[in-house]
Amino acid sequence: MSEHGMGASVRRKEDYRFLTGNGHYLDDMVRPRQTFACFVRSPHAHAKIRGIDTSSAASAPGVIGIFTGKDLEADGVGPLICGWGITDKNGEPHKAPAHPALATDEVRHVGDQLAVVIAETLEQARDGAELVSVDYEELPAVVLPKNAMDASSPLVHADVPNNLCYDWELGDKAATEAAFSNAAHVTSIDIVNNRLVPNAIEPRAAIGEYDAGSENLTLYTTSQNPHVARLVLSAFNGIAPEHKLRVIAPDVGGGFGSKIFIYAEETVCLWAARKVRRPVKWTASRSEAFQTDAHGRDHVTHAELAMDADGKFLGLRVNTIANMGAYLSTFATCVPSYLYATLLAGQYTTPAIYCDVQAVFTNTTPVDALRGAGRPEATYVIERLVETAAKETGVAPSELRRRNMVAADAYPYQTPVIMQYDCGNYGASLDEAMRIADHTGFAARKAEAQSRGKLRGIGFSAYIEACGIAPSAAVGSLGAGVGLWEAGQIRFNPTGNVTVFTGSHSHGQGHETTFAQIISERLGVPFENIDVVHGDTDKVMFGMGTYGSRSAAVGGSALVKAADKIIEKGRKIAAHILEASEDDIEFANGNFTVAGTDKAMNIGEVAFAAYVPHNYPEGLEPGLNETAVYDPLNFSFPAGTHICEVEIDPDTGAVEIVNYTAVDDFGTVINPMIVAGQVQGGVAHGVGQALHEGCNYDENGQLITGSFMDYSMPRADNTPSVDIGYTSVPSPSNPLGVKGCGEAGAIAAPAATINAVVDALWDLGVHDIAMPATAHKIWQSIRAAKAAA
Amino acid sequence: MYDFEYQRPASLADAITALKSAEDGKLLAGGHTLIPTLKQRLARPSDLIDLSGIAELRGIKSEGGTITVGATTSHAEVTESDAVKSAIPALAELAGMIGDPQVRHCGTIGGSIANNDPAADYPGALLGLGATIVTDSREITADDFFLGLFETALEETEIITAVKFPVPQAANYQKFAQPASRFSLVGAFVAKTGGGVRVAITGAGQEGVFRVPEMEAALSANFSPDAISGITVSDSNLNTDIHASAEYRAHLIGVMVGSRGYRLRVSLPKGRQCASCRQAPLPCSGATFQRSRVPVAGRRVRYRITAYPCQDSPFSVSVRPNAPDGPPTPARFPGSRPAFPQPVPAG
Ligand SMILES: Cc1cc2nc3c(=O)[nH]c(=O)nc-3n(C[C@H](O)[C@H](O)[C@H](O)COP(=O)(O)OP(=O)(O)OC[C@H]3O[C@@H](n4cnc5c(N)ncnc54)[C@H](O)[C@@H]3O)c2cc1C
Repeated sequence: MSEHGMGASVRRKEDYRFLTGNGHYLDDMVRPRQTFACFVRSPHAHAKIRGIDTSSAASAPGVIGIFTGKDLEADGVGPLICGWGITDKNGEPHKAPAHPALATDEVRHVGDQLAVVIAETLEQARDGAELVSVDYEELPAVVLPKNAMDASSPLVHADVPNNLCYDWELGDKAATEAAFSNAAHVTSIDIVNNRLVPNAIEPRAAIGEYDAGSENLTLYTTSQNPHVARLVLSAFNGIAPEHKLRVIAPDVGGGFGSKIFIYAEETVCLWAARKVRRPVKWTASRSEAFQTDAHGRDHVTHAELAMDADGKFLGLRVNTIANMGAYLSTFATCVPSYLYATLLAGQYTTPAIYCDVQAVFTNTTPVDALRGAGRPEATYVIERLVETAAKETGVAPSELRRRNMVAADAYPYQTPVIMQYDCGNYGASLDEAMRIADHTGFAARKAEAQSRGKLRGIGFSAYIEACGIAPSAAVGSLGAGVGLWEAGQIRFNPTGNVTVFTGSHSHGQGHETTFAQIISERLGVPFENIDVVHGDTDKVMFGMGTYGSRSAAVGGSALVKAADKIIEKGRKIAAHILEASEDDIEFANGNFTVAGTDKAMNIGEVAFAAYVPHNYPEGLEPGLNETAVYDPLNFSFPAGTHICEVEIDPDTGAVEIVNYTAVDDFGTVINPMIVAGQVQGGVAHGVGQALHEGCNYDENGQLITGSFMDYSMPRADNTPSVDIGYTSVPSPSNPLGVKGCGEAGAIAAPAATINAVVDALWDLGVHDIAMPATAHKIWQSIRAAKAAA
Repeated sequence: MYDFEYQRPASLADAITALKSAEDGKLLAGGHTLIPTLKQRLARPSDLIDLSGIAELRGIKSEGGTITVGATTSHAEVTESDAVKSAIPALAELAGMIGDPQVRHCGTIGGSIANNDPAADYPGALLGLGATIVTDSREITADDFFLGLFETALEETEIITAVKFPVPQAANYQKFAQPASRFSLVGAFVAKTGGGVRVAITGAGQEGVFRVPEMEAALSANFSPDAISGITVSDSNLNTDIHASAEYRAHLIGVMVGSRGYRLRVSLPKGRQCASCRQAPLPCSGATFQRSRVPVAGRRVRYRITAYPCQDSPFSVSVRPNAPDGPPTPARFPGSRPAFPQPVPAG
């Protein structure tokens, strides 16, 4: 292994600048003559806007402009869009109520924005916003997804009956019913997948800027996918034609999905920059982030598993009500449908699966993709069901899983829910996880804990996810409004160093390091001579951005293809200069060599020759730059087994995670240190969902958990130090063999953790516990079970 | 934040004058409660009078069985003070459980008690130890000082100058933290003094910190956890919120008061080796350790020791289990790709 090639734990290039305060985050940027925006937001969950009086705000010191939804309308600014069309059970498209960037007639959730005040300073903008007086007529609100479809519930949108966005299904209903009628045992569960707030460390921010001379607009924004933002802002919001609009996403401090979407504030800042002819800047406060970043999860599910007498799974039936919030965020519709139900086979050979999903509107913040997006919800359904089934039938949880896993020689494996798994070895991950977790020693540890008055439990989560999103034709057929290929470009400079451009976007993932490793390995260029550029639509060719653990699998693959083109062109140049036939030129470790001789040219020399083409092949273009676009052949399917072991203090209900093992199959691993970081972070996220995080509204739609004082983020001391292992079956669906690792922890950990908690409490009579399983909730469950016993 | 005048007097006398002459003046100590309030525009004082320039308000003195802590002494100074640690270790430990290092280095005892947040920790210590609050004009006993939610006996323009703690025979503070804010959900301060045992509960009460006379009587008769095992605290004046019901708080009071004190548990991974030098078992020769408190652990405070193996392994996750097959070989690309880590053949 070279020091900086594939498989090396190279320290992250970007960390020096992040750790020394030299990153370029949006709020650090100061544009000449910049102004500040403050949004006027609804304090009510649901209200009619009778009138907006901006007169006293308009004369407040420093106020430059005040705009409402009427001004956007007058300028022809289109509403915010949802980019994935779902066809419901009856063949009808999903309901897509209007989503104006600034609300005009009604506000529909606390924090819904209806006006913007632009001023010389941030404090003046806030003063101005306080002076905007809004005449609200409060309306009743619907908050809980399970109530949304009730006839008695108020309508979030008058034109959406029953608050039903879509009623959608997947799978063979008749075959599934038949499987249930033949079952020897049926296990059923009712579960809630708790609503989460994304809480990226850097809040969303934007600066819109207008250049009167060129009529170009620039949006600096905290985006995971700047090109998609440009496309939507041009084609749908109509703010500027694509070629007159530049979107720059500089260093971005985390996203977890919440920065995929095209939000109101960014749209308004960009549009307003042209109105006031000065840059307009907005940075979300943490309170605004809680109220307006698209939330995640929020499912209510009833699920049933049918088994034969040997514990073989015969059928799975799932009904889910998914909360969309007050409006459809950019990709909201696909999350509880195609990113969810298509994974319900899990690692198992369940032959018949039927899932129906009712997506509903409520007077809450919009809900969209959050780390894992749909796949954590699917894993939670399956793995809670399987664990419960094991308990009910008395088969060991590992054994029940093993009996039903897709066999290692069964690939490609077609599931009954669209996905075709390309490769895997699920039994191997299960074995390895049990070995690392010392599963055989558990009984002794449990007994020892008991002697100290503690309850110990162990829980499995055998997860699968679909990453490397995604083959364009496949997602197109399922309703996506975009293709999901990725672009990459390699530019050699005349002096032999390299600038790499990728359409994916790094906001914590470490692309500047891993992509440089790929190129260093592939082209033999020293790692330090490679720079990776991303996040600027004027620099990088159109690309699709980063989400769904796709960057290495799709973006990395595009770079591999571009590198192959560089080698092909370099071969021609080297052959010419070395006076050999192209066929005799071999390329390895950065050197073009004439086979069987010591005649060689380094790729740096070839690059120089390409830019100073004095002695150069006839007809060949000078320069050494290559571009490639990669559209994957299939999703990739990372999978594995996580095992969580907890100890509960029955006196207080406090849970401690005493061991956590993650064995993942991510295919080829480019940088083990970065992958370990992703696993650790993902598990923190998943444990957070299982034990700590929960977004709560009261019955009037007020956000109770609107700050870190009440929204419980997992902290370092809540986070287990994960014992990491790998089993690796390289993906055949991309040239790197990678599968993606950014979401696995968040997908696997909730089920592993809750299964462990329930295992600890099972004998007391507690057979389910809702997430987040706080000490309080556990204590209450123990008490309730004792009272019932 | 709205505009205000900022003043930084150098003496207590100047501070008093400034406060009395300001239209709507507010004292600024550590700012860790006040500044967030201002930033959210929930308060609009005309003047901020910063106490940090007044040397006489800061510092810790130990004399004649009393520990005197100046009003602007930070939580960190109390935690680290040898005088406090030797005389009232429970007080030093309590200060060390407040917030995080940043908060502890800014927040002050005067600011904490003047604010009287019902979930704050210090009120428990003051009431539990029977401390005396000294102001620019008088002395107030803790029993008379804390009046209710965010309410104290302080006059509008009164300045706390110090808190005097009588040294007890024994004391203990047990904190069950609210999971999000990590203020106390239930904090129990138990002190054995010459005049009997005092039990003060913070975090739980609808009216802020309070004493539990039944427990005090039982513990004064028999200073052992068993003494209170039969006593249940009524939940009728306790808080209910999304984090805990009154019932749960009432139960936790029993658990926290009945605690037998601290234990230090060191949990090093057993039989594991450093991923870098493969030296088994840990700790390897190059390892460094970090001790972190696990504060929500109910009856006991636990410390987690994280081992950071030598070189190149910044993550404690690289403490990997013994792998019988030697160090993993990283993948090579292109070629036959013996992938990192050990590949499992597909099919
Ligand atoms: C993230 C975070 C976590 C925290 N966690 C905890 C915790 O776990 N437990 C806990 O107990 N607290 C916690 N706190 C609160 C912290 O201890 C505060 O610092 C403290 O409550 C207020 O002290 P201060 O010096 O910052 O006061 P300031 O914010 O400066 O002032 C608070 C109030 O007291 C008044 N005041 C200040 N000094 C005096 C004086 N000498 N005389 C009269 N009035 C005065 C001020 O006018 C103001 O009204 C936390 C705070 C933060 C920000």
